[in-house]
Amino acid sequence: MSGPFISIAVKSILARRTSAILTLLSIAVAVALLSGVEKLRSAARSGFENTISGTDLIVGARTSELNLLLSTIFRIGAPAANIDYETYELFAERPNVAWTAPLSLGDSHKGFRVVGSTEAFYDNFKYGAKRPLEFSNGRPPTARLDAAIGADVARKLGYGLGEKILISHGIVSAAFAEHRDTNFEVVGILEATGTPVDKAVYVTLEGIEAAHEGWVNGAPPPTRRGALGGSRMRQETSSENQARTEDDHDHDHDHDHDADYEAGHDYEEAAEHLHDHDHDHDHDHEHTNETEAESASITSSDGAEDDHDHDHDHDHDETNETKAEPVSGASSDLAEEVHNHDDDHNDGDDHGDDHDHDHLEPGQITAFLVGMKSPTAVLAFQRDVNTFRGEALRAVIPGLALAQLWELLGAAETALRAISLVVVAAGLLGMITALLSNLNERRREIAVLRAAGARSSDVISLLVAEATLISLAGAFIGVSVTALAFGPLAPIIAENYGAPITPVGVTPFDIGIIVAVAVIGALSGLVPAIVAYRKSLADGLTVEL
Amino acid sequence: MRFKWRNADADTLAINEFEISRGESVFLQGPSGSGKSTLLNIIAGVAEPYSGRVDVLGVDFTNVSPSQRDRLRADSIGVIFQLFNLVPYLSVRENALLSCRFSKARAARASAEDGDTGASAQRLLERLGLGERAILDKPARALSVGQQQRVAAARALLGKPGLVIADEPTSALDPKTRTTFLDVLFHETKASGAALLFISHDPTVAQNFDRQVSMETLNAAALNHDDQAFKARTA
Repeated sequence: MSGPFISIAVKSILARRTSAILTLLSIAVAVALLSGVEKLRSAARSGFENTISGTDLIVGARTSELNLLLSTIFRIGAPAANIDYETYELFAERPNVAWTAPLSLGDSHKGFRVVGSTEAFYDNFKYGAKRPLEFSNGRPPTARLDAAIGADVARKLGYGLGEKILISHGIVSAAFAEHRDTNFEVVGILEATGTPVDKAVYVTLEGIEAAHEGWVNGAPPPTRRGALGGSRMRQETSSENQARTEDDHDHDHDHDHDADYEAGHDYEEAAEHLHDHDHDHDHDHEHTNETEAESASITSSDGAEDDHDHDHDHDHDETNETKAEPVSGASSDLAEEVHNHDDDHNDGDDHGDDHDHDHLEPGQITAFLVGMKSPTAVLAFQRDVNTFRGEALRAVIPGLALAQLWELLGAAETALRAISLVVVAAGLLGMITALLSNLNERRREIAVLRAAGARSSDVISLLVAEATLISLAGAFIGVSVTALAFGPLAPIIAENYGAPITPVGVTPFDIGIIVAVAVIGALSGLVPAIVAYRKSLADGLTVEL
Repeated sequence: MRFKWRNADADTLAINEFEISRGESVFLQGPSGSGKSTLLNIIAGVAEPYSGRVDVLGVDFTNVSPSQRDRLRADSIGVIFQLFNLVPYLSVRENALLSCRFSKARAARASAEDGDTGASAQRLLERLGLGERAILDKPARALSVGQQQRVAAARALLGKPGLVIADEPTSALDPKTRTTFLDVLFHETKASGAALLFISHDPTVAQNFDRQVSMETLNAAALNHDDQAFKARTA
């Protein structure tokens, strides 16, 4: 006898449309949330898993697998340390290796990470379903001051081919620490991938070295320097000591401009400064600071003030990023120090000779990607890397590390899902409440139905039918809203967050939500239905209110 | 036959014997609280006495399941109340057709008589002065109490029930409408051979019925009951 109840239920719902619509909306919102979370979750997951493919191993200085993956592929956080280029060459020449691509990280351009690599990177890096990187415009960087930019960089900064860009030291976006005399030119723009690849600037390894050459540095690392860097450092300082006095004026000059930089002035101004510095011979000035900071590392930071008032002030200003900038935090400090090694190194090699770049050889890189000739060789290679005696190294298999990381994120994912389920439950509870609160005023109506021949089970059917209809309609509207909303939103999300929402529209999961909500709605309808049934038994046909 | 509500101390109803023949119209008079409504619920199969026996239209109600009583009510009993007869959100037509909705047998009888259930309802409503289309499609809540009463009568009479129970149906009607109402009620029950149990405390209409019965004489528990109520009030 549930047949006649569908139309009666519909009319009953319409008769109480205010509370019905509110109930329906709360279920719709809850379902839209659940469906949306699910869509974003699976998009995030596939976007995440698509970040890197075709790379068998990522090798970097010893750190956690997670940190290595995050810093090299997602470019989140800072790499733990650098590895010697010789070490890289050693592993790259091993027999089973199909290809390697070195990565030198730690610099940035207007908040985008700068990645130094070789052409092997553009040839071999794959994402998604083994899709290679492609250039929508131009070519990979090959010359020392070539740069390629990811699709996001091109879009957000509005860069085209031929754009001249500066590279900042470190990974904070503040512009005051730009490598002032290194003017890169954009020669290539990468096709959008929806991965962190889009959010980086790519230069050659030589470019990274060149960027640090002549850079006005922060404090040199008092510790953590390899024997090589340390000795070079000492060399520089002794050779540059005599240049200190004449530089003091320049320091002041720089200081003013630094203030401008901090105020967020843009590229043109940066370029101006670049010229200034060309005239000013910043190398000297840099070395002065190193001496200064080295002495500071021995005594206290204020200990050397007698002789070097100007220098000292300046030093503080310039080292802002390393020492006084709280935003950069401890990890980026580490990165700075690592790069200071490189700076020292280059200066040692190329001091005073801007034209001789051909023998500019990277002393250190951050990590390298490895493709093996056969998958069976991966584990052996990994073991060899992890047990390498020359340097503390770590090799991770990206797929495994990604799975590990996702597991970590899975907790958040589960929490998110749980929250949306709770919201759905709240919506259904609201419906039960609304139906229950209506029951008293419905006692007469139910008595009339009973008098007209409705069985007590029909009373249950009516209320269950109402609950089912409300939850079904709510679930349907919720799913539709999400499906419609993600139509225009999907490309935006894919572009900005690298999370491809596929398929756009109603998924089997959505159908599942609708069915589940309708079933649970029907079951929750049993609560008011049974209450109504018992009331109707007590009332009989003559309701006295 | 004895009946006691749950949680009640004393019997509400204690009736030795009460019988209505087929086609007979009975006027049952009694003040409120004399157990009229309870008797209505028992005859309609919604309430069940704890002892004794109730036969309705040849079925032993004390010996069948509640859903079988529900079925018999749907098929063969028409009920009209004093107030609140209609489902407020259904239209006049839908309310009148409600009884046919719950009973195939009733729908079949209505169709046999007038062609289809709609025509049957239309005819009854017309006879009760509610024939205009404008009224038929109005929601029940838009009607006056008197109009609602007549819609309820149409519903109760639709599909030739064997028994019609009316609980103070005329109390909200003006004298002229009351006369029409009673005429239709008598005519239809006579035509279908239905018994009519008319519960009222209005003695002015009593003489139209075949038989008049007083609740006080019928219900042995009534005195007790009133006594107790009186004691409760004075205590």
